[in-house]
Amino acid sequence: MTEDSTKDSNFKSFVNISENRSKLLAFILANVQDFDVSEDLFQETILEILKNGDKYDSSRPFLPWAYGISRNVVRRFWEREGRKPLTMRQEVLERLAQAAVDTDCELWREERTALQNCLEKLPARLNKLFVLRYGYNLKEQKLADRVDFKVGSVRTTLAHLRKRLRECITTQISQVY
Amino acid sequence: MTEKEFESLLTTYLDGQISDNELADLDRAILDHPKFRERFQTEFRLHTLMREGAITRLELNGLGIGKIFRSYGGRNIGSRFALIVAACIVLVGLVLWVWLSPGRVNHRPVVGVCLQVSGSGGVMIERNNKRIVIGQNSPILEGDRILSGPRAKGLMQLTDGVILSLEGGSSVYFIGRTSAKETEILLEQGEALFEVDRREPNENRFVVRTPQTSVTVFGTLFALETQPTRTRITVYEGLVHFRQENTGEVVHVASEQYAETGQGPLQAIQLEALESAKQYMGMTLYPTDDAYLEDGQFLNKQHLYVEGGRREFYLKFRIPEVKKNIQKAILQLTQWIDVGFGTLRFYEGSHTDWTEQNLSVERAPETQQEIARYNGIVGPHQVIKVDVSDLIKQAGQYTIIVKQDPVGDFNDISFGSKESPLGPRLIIYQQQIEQQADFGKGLQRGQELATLGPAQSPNQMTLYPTDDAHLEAGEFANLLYLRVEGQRRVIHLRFDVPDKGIIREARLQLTQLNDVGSGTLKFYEGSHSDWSEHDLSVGRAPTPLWEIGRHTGVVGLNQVVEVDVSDLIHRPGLYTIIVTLDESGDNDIAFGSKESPLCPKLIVDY
Repeated sequence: MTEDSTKDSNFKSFVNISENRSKLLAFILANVQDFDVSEDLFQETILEILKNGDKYDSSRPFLPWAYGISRNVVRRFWEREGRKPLTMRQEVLERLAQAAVDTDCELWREERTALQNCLEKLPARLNKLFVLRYGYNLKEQKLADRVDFKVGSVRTTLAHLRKRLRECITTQISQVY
Repeated sequence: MTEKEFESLLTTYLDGQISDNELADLDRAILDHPKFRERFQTEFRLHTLMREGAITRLELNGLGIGKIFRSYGGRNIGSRFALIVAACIVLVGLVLWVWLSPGRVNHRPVVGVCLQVSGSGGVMIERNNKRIVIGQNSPILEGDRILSGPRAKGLMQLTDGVILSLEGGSSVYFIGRTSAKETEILLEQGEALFEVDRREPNENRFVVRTPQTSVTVFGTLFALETQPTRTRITVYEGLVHFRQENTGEVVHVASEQYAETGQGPLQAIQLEALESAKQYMGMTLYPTDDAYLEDGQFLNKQHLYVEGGRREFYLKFRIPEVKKNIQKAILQLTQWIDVGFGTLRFYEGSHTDWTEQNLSVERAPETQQEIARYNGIVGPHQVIKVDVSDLIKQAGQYTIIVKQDPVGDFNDISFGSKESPLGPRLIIYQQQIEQQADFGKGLQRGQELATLGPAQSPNQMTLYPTDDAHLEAGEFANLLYLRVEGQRRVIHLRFDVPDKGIIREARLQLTQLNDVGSGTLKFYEGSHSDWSEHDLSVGRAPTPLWEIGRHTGVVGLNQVVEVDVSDLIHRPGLYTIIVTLDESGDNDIAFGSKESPLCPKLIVDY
């Protein structure tokens, strides 16, 4: 491995991570189902990818290789959490994670851009719920306490929030393209 | 399964509350029905993007903590939830990219990445008429404009390998590829240093424009400074074609030459000696020998390379008998050719029986104790000063070995060797310490100096941990950061305090890195110091004995937390300090570890 090729592989890894950040994060999130934990593990994944950048065959797609690294990071996490050997639940979560990211990258980009506009239009009540759930990672009772809702109402309102944003994104994209 | 049942399962799944049986049902539905699979993908994509959107919003509000909490009318919200969001602060650069990422219509290629930002004031990216502060790892797109604050500095690498160091108060516009074989950037104002790999004439050309000139580069190291009425280029290595656009004049500027517009006919002029060693004449010593080790071979060239795990360099100094009563010894290294960043460690060599002509792996001195350390960016012509007084106390010969921690792979740094005009120097202070006015001149711009600050008293020592790690879920992690969170994550630090006299005061400093947070940090004496960061385990880890210090409140971005640990550290020896965070904080905080540029410090006053 020459000096230049090492630099090159690291740089490419940076770019690849940046371009595919959302899908990598989604893959981990679908496995662990918690924002904070998934971001910790995403950070570990970045370090692993950079450490192993020279092992990546650039003639092949980046994401499957990166998912492999993420999967190992997640498994190490399960081990640390004392959940070894892999349980049926984790196998299902891995399968769902793979399904979750099995979509076109371009779609992610379009929807990300559209979502920014849609978030601007949220009414205060939904915006508050959005920030507390998605920004501060509050769930269930804690979230219900903060917004003075019942837990069931929070679920319903969150579902409504997602539906509203989904419809807004669809409209935005159809207007642009 | 009906659509309504599926939607209900999906909602439960996204809320993270799904049971094993429900999960199996969801899995089956997705496997069996393409429409459910598509619905799942759509909803999970939104779920992830909403998280990214929320974090981006908060971070773009300067973490938005106070404002958002106030708007929700609850002081407790602030303390309870404050900064949980910042668990992903490490992602700030990447998240900013998410915010800025254009859709299909505006999609532009990535042309580079920001490697490091230093100094104060920040470096901004201007894209789509928005300006956002960038950080490490932020990608740069074609058509971006990068602006550095008056005292900030940005180090960037472009996709074709070019390294660009942007000085304070500068602006550069990334034009991108203008033809199949040409990449252009425009330095609109200020100063930048470019390091361009050597390339053949038939390879991609790199062109830097200023308002008055264009520079065509085939592989070189040069600095370009542009002002409204003039542009100056200084070439340190290689050759460039320098063209003044309004007159059409072209000159070839070679190594150690400069050219400047607005000074009559364009011409290349030899650089005068760049060093300012004369000001130290009579006090300054130069190495008798210096060389660097690369892949098992010692090389004696005009530069000294250091690169984690691959290159290190050796300096030998002779201190004459006349230099008695040495009070202080400062080693100065001047960057030359390769800029970079990281942690440089300075060690005493085991012997001085070598010369730069006969140095080999077999006869090379080995490293003894670490005598100094430097963390951070090493920019163009930057002078690194480290205090080596612990080693150099009297006349004699000394070997100093310089190594770099292997963190980050494109961080080789080179300094001038004694064969260059920018060679190493050892400045000996006798009797009284001189408070020279220019002492701070060569310090890192906007950065701290690892072992010597202008205000540091001669009786003060800054020590770094010999070992550090944090316990996480039953295992010790030795990473770039040290994370603390309730009982789940606990920091262990180990310091070796030397015998330099009576200790008057000792202060521990931790610098926030990655995760900001809040709560009460408690500092304890560890029950023993018989551990290293490599062998630490739950079974052999020291346990907290009694509390020696406390810090309560928010720990913000890059904030330094300082606690007085004089009660514990009052004599030489090995010490373990354990740091915990009260669980009521409901969040975690991360500090730089000794492997990071923001490592813990123990400041001891004797």
